[in-house]
Amino acid sequence: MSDSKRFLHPEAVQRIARLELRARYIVEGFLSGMHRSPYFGQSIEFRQHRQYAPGDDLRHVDWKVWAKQDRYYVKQFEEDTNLPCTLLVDVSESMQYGRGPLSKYDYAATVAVSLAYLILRQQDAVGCVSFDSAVRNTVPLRRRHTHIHAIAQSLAVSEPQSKTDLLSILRGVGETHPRRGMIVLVSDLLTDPEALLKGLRMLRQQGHDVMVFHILDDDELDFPFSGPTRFEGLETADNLNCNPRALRARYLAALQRFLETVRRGCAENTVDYALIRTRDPLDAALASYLSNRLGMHHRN
Amino acid sequence: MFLHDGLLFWLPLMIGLPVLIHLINLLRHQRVRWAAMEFLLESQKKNQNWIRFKEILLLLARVAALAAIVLMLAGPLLQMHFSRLFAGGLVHHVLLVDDSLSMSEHWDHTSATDNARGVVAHLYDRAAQHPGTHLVTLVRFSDAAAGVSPEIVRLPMQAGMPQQRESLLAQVRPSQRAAGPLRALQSVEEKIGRREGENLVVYLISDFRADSWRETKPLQEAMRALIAQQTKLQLVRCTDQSRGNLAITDVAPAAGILAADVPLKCDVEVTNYSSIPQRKVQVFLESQTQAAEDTKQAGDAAPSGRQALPSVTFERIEPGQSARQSFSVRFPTPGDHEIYARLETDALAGDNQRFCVVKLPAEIPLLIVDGQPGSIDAQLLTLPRQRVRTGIKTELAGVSYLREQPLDKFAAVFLVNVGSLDAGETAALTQYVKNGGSAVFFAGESTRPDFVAQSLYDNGQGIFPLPLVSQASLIVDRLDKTPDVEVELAHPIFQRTFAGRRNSFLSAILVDRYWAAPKDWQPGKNEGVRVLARLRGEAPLIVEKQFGKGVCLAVLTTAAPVWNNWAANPSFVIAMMEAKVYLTSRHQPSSSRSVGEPLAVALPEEGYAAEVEFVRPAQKAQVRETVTADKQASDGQRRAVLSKTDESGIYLANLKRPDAATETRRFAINVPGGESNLAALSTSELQTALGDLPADVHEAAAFSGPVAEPAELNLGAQWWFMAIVLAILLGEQFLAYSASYHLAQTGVVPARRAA
Repeated sequence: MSDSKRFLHPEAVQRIARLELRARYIVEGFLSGMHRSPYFGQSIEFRQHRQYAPGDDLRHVDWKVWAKQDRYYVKQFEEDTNLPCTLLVDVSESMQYGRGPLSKYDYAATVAVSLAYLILRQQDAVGCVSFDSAVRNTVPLRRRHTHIHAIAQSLAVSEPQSKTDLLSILRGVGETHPRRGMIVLVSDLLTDPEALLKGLRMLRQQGHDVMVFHILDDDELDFPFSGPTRFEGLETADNLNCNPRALRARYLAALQRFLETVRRGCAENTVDYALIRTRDPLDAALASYLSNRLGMHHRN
Repeated sequence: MFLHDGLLFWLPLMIGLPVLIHLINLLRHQRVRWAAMEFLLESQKKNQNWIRFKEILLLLARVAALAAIVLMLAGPLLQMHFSRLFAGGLVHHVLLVDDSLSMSEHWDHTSATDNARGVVAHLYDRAAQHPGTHLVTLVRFSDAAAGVSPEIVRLPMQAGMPQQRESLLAQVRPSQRAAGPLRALQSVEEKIGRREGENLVVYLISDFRADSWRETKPLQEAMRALIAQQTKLQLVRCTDQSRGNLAITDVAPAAGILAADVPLKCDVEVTNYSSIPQRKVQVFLESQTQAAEDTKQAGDAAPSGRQALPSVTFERIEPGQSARQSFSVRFPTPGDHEIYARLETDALAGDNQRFCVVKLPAEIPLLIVDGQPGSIDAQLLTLPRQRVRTGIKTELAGVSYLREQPLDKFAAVFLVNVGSLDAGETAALTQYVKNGGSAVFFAGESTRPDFVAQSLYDNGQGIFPLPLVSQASLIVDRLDKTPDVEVELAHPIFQRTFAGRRNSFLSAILVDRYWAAPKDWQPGKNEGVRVLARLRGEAPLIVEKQFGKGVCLAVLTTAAPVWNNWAANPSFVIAMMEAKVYLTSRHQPSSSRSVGEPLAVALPEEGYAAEVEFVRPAQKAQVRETVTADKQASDGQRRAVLSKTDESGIYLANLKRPDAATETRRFAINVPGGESNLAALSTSELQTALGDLPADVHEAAAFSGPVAEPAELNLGAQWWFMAIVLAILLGEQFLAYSASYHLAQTGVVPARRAA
């Protein structure tokens, strides 16, 4: 793992309390050479030349011009999709879980604000909807740079509670966002997978490009518990006294089946899907987003 | 019992520890607020029962493991089997040792008695090493049967006292007696008893022959009585298997004239106590002639040396059967003579020899009372005379002799053609027959039926076998070849005389006249009367009656060839000789006694010294013992009784006669019957005989060898115990692993990154 990634690790990020700062930290760090994205510069349409200044990335030098004119000019790009992006952030009680540096909610909020920052930096409109069993907060689509604050603010005040009802949320989003755009769902998806896929299918049928960031804690993925444990449901009244190790194998099998169902369902509905652990570096979501944008560019 | 009892204090705690930990864990569980409950509950629902089962098993395994470790460290002690018999402070070991003849059985350089001795030695050594006080009493079967108190009672068994040990072992020796276990078992309470604080252990050390255990009920009762008194009963078998055996079961003179210088026919009997036929069994015979006079100075009648007789060979003796053969021996002088028979050595030597003493008088006196003195009838009865040595001395006399002289010295009295007897004569004759004498009446012209009916027959109560009516003539058609006389050929008088299909003697006898009995007379069933000869199957001719200890024969025709032609027939003399043999040999006193039976010698009359010197055989030398005769209350006769008859052989009794001469009498004492059958009870048969009695059965081999095994065995130090503990621990680990209490494998669900 390169040193640059170290700064994008949750342990490092969680020191930044404010979401906007955190997002800026992540995005700038991601964009400013800490991470060599193969997609950078290629996912954005060429806008104009400017004269080369020392320190510019040599990849952006237009060598054709140099060949013709023997002068060094740097290309400047511009995104040409101009798709509004709506971030759907799950703030249900299940997102509260997390024994690592960041809870799922913290991680999801950080990813959402980072994406918003990146999108606004690219002068696209972005909005945010936080939800649990119902929509908790809605931030409309705006293009201004200062919109990031509103988004960060809406997520900061949202404390995870209540259960998730993704189908009704996705249906509602579809109704309130008729214009084609991009919808990014950031959630742990701990709900009925059929309802989820139905909602995603609905959005796809409406013409939206949908991305799903499936945020799960390492504990939920690894189930590393041992010793007598009492599990108490975050969103349900269920509780269970057990020896976790005795249940681990079948728990993981059930989880795997669930993930496969979701993964397959997303693939069938051409929904981009990424499973992210809360211990993963936060550039994963950004890279995934940018990759999706490139794909959209090529499709278009 | 445990080596370290104190550790057991921790046992309940250690057993409860896993349970306690489990309960504590239930209270100390960590709480996790969990989002993915659905998957957890799904897993729990599928695994619930199986997980619970494994956890219970695991809990039990942990309890078992801790308990096993504590037990192992505590050192459980297993008392070795025999040590349980030696536990309890004061232990009284009563050894009931079988010393009957069958215990002499030997095989492979050992014997049943050797095994018994080994058992006793082993018990002594073990007791001497064991803590506590151990006493021993030894009871021999033969002593118990004879009512003799044991010599060794409550002897302390201690180490370092070899003489004491040897004195105990010296008591274990075989005898030649027959003795079963019943009296020995009963003697434990009768003669030994139980003292306060004693733990009683009774050992029945025997060969357990089937014959001795045939009547199991009284044995069971005796053993049950012991067990009811908290006695531990141990049975120890001293033989390893049942073996076959041959035994000489009889040597005796056959029926016949026992007189000096008369060929004596004797029988020897051999019994095959095995499961296979025995062939070519040879019996070696010897005779030993003693001086006729019993005035030998030495008194012990130094043997003049045995003389070998021709041996007898039994071609085949079937299993379980006896066979007899005859041999002839002749002793020229009157007196007590010995016959000795011997077999080749087999498993049991004691019954391979047998002794017989034959008491031969110079002659056998016989009285012929002639009712018509000088008649030919009496003369004919004296045949054959001295030309042929018969051993019979005949005395002719008149009827008054019956009254005037004692009749006891005569072996038989013949009354020929006697008309009547006076009361004294009748009484003397009647008493004579009653006391065992034999009387023969020959009828004739003088016979008076009224006298016979009144005095001799007396309505069936007298000595005469039947009433008489009158003289009668046998009217027959002589063309009819049916013999006049029919005899009971099985009777000794006629058996050899008229035996053989070609024997024409009987058919040659013609009878013209006879004394007839009433036509309706038939011999009664309870009168001891039987008809030995009939005339043409109808009228009785010779009738026999058992009267008291004697017998009376009535011949209803003349001895002389007056009413018949029998005397002219050679068979008459032979028949009369056979009759004399039959009548004189009926009450020959038995000269054989069994080992263990007291030997009683009656002193014939006053004047004999009361002290009688007995000489009895012993293994190496004869033993002399003087016994004073006591007057018996029953009959007033003096008798000297030798009670110690432990060895088979010839016993002598030297009596001092009034004239100071020594009269020596000989007696043969042989091993008793019943000990020769060596068939022993198998272990299963012995268990069956014991029934539900809680008695242990051991083999003598279990008591052999030095006492090396420890009294107690520390189970915790045994490799197999540790192996069990280790197996429990490994099992616990396996269960713990199976119940997922060990570190889980990494089964991480990988995060799928965006392509």
